[in-house]
Amino acid sequence: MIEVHELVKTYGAKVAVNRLSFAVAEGELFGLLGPNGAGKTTTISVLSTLLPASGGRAVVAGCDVARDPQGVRERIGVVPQEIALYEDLSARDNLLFWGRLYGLGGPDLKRRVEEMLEAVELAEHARQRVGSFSGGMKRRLNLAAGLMHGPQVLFLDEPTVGIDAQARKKILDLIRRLNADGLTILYTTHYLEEAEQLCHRIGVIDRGELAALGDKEDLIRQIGDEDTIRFDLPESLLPEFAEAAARWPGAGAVSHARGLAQLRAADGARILPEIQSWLAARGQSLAHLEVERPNLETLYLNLTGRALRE
Amino acid sequence: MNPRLIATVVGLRLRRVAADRANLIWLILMPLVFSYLMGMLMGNWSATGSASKPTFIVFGLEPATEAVTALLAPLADHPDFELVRRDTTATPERARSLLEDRVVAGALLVGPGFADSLRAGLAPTLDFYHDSDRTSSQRVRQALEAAYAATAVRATVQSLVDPAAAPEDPGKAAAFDAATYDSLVAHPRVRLAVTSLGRNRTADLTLTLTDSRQHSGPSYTLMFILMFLLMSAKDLVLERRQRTLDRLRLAWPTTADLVAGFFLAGMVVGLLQAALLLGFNAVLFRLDYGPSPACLALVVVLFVAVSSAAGLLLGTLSRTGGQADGLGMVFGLALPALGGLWWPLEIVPDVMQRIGRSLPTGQAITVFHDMIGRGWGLAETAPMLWGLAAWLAILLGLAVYFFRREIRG
Ligand SMILES: Nc1ncnc2c1ncn2[C@@H]1O[C@H](COP(=O)(O)OP(=O)(O)OP(=O)(O)O)[C@@H](O)[C@H]1O
Ligand SMILES: [Mg+2]
Repeated sequence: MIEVHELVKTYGAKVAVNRLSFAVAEGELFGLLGPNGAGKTTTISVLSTLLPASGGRAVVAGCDVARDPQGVRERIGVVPQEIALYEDLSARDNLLFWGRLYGLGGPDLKRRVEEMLEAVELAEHARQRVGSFSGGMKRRLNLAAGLMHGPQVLFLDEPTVGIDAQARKKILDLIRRLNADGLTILYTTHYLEEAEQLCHRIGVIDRGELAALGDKEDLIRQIGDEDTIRFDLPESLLPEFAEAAARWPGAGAVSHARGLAQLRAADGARILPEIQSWLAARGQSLAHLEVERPNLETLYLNLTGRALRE
Repeated sequence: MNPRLIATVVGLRLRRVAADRANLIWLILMPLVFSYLMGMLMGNWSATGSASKPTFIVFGLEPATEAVTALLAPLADHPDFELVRRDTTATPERARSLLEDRVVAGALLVGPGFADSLRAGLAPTLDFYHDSDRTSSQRVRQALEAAYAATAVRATVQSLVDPAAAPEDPGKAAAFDAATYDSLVAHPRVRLAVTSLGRNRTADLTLTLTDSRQHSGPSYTLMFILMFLLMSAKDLVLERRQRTLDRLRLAWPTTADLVAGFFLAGMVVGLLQAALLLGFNAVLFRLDYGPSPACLALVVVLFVAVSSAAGLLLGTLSRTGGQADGLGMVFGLALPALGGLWWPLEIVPDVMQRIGRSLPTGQAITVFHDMIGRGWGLAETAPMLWGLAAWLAILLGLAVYFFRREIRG
């Protein structure tokens, strides 16, 4: 449904998207996960024909974005990161307007508007000004506006930014329902949990480049199967510890960060007694112990090299 | 171009303007208040239509002197001004200040000893002051000059037949002597020295209106149309920032549809505003826009179109709402000021008049002045209308160019 091949987009000297390649199958819910400024919005803008690509090619719903932008536009729905609505108009008037712009009219348009208001659970607030809506309600209407003309592919750009947990759950449920009805969705987010819970496959994007791609298991396999153990250790003892650890079965790389020694090990639980007795022999006790199972969080942090905000 | 989509975009804009009640203040209320108050402030401009006639004042200790009496006789009971005599002397400064303060339309100073000097053949001077900028003042001058010519000739001839009037050569006075007559005509017994205040402008630039509301009515209508459309440039910036513009682009309307929609929406707002304001002015202040409805319609449509295109251009070029607002305010105030909407162009220096008439504001108000004051129509106001059309072509061309460039990303 979406094929992206070596896509490049530059703003002057700044490379926002760098040789990005991925494909999304029909009916798939694909997540593009990346921190702020990674190039998610830029990618969506190019795929939705709002921006011309600087290089590479992309095909959406069978239409080449460069050669047949009109064909692409007819088949896609876009939900921008911003609340792209008229706040001084009511929810219904907003949907009526966007519907008319897609050539809808008469009873068809009315029916479609009521249908969408129901779908995003805003029917009771249809006559209310959008400006008086809560963040979650605005986000839902923003989504409905992108669905008015019944697209085959939906681009969702961070649709849960800045709203509370309940409102977020509502939106995620809605997205799951839409996908279950056969809609192909490209979903961008910088929340790892969202991508993990929602998406069939995830592409991790950072500084415009694809850092990893696959389903959850694929991604975890990429970091290997090792646990990470951290505990208090003066830095002066580190070389001695590394020497000792090298002799333990299943132990891996040793490093030191933030006053903590870090040891990778195939099975953390089995190696803990070794550490404890080594420390005891040197008059130290085991403090600030952390044992971490391999997870996407570590992967994401390793890949993007940045801590996630929130 | 798809008329239905364009109409949808126009309809949206109108609904949004109507949704904000505060807009009514700027669209209708403020312009009416300005038209009324500024009309009051500038008062009545007519020379003839007013209740009290302008004054022509004559200062002199001996206004009863025969020569002076003869000079002033035809000026009494004049239809254009009131002749007032003062039995005092006055300085040139006094005459000037009376004129500058518009207390009088003309001042004639008869110096002390005028009669004696005349009798002694010393050719005394009458000092006359007027203001070339004022029609009323010019009328006084014309009347005085006619009277003066008659008086001067009369005194000349009189000195031929009355030896007492030509004491320097009593012997020759009895008979008509052509040489003496020629010399006397060449050196009249009375001289009129005219001092002119004001800037002596050419005739076609004189203010032809009689009531300041004839100016303030149309001028503040034009000013607030321009201001509103320039200020709504911000809406386009917001559409871009909030990505509703992206949504518009992704839907069916083409770039041409969008430009047409935004431009026409501005035109509809401006035309409604013009119709209401000019209508109110006609009803409330009995303003008559002259004999040519076609000319009135054309100047309004052209001016509104220029304003709408300017707003579109400003919205396309501004990056932030603050920028659009700020520039909108600057142009919304500067163009009316330079173009003679705040005060008539007729009273500003020549250079500023030329600048003013090269701006759309100056062109539009000049057409209004000419329609109202001179009864002109399409043919006579054509140069100004073409000027407006040129502005429209330039501004709309630039707006479309930058809008398209912006949209290509
Ligand atoms: N119009 C532009 N001109 C110049 N640089 C831009 C422009 N738009 C985006 N960028 C830059 O391109 C890079 C990618 O931006 P983009 O908006 O695609 O990131 P994003 O992943 O959507 O981030 P966010 O999570 O903040 O929305 C950023 O470094 C950004 O500063
Ligand atoms: Mg973004």
